[in-house]
Amino acid sequence: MRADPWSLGVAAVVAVFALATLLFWIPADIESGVVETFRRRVIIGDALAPTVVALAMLAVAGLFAASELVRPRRESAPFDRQSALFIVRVAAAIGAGLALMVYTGPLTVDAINALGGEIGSYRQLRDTVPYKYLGYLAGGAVMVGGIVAAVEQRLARSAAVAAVLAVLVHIVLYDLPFDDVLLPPNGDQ
Amino acid sequence: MSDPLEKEDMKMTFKPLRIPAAAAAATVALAIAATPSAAEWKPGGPINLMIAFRAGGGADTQARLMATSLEKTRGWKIIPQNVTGKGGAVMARKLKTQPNDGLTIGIAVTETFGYNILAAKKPGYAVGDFTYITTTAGSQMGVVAKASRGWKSIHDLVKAAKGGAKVKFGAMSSRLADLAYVVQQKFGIELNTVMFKGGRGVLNAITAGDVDAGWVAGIQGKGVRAGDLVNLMSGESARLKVSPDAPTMIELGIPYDAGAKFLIVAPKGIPADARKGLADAIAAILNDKSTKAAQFVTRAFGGPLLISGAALDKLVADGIANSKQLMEATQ
Repeated sequence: MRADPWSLGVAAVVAVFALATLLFWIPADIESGVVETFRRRVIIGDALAPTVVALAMLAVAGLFAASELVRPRRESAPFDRQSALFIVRVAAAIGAGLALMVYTGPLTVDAINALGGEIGSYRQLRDTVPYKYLGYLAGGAVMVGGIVAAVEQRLARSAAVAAVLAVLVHIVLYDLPFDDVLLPPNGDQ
Repeated sequence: MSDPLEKEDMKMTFKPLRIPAAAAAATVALAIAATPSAAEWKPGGPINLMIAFRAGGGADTQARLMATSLEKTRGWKIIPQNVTGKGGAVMARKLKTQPNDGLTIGIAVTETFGYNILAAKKPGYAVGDFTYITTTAGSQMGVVAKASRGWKSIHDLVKAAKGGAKVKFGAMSSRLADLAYVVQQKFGIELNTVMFKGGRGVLNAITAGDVDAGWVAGIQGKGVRAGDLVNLMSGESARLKVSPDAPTMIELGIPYDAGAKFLIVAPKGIPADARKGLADAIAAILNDKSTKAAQFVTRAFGGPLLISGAALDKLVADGIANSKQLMEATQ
């Protein structure tokens, strides 16, 4: 029985990522070390937590590869064209959803202003109904509906309705009861 | 665009109304009083208030009560958000990238824009990245101990340390740890300085007996008034309002001010009218004793401390100079 090349590939990718994190990312991005002396005090540096996580990832990747080489699994799911298409579809649904979430509100406001509406900028309206819901509703519905469609492998009207309802429930639960909460993307506007 | 109502109005004819002169004058006066002056700045939308402190502490409570009071008195919409970490640096790094339209402001302490910039290897922000709006209150920084320990002043702590007691001392920032080191040097004693997250952390450790004394910035007032806690020394340039008998560091020959001031800041270059409008609005709610914000600031920090404009710019510049001096003295 041969080791599954896909399993070994996953282990290799995780190991390379962990090594890159340890050798390049952490030194370049985090100013303090793992443990260091700062103004007469020994302190835990910011690099400790990501270093521990990267080492753990490296260890898990090594164990995964070793177990695959020593005792390969008899049945492994094939990675075929359909698997790749599924990943692409889910990624597309998430990407399109995020893009719509970020841009629907600002573009709508820009369009209204261009038509002479003079309603102000989206930043000024980011807590005003209905503008504040446009991006979340459009993006969220496309994201949820797109993922459901990818799983079901068809675009059903019921899935679209369920997606819109799911996002509306989110809005009712997370926005309406709270005065000081901004739904995405409004907190970053 | 032309107003469609204008043509309708032109067709209408009105019977002249006779209004007594006094009533007319009163109406005009009321209208003027009710209308904001042309110079008064109003935000064009909701204001994000980034709070550089953990939720639930004294500084966070102050910020949130100020937001509530501004909403109530001005009709502004304020959205508070805790952006914590690195003594305010995380908030400062985020704030400096926001649009400078007055719709995003932050609250931190003067230390964030002084000592912390100098102490960090890569602070990620500079003094010049911000427009400083106003201070809101000053700390009531003191060296605090439990009353049951029996210490009445800093001299009792020094005596205990010189007598061989291992004194554990709480601090919530590197600057205050440096100042604890200055106290050690001055009195020739050794303190085991332990770091905590926020003054609340230090106070909890003092109360639990985990440390013998430590810096607390104002929330000790209630315990001091109740007789459970003692301010051994004032870290401010003046004596503490709740403990007028405790000497200041300066009176004891330590030429530093451990106090901090809460500071409202905005990204660099916000319009002058926005800077003034924000400062005026905050001053108004903190000077109005009926607001919850003013009541809390008075209870926790001894009252509002409002410095804005050029005086505030000088305060920030002086803070940098003083921090350099402190860091050199505690190398």
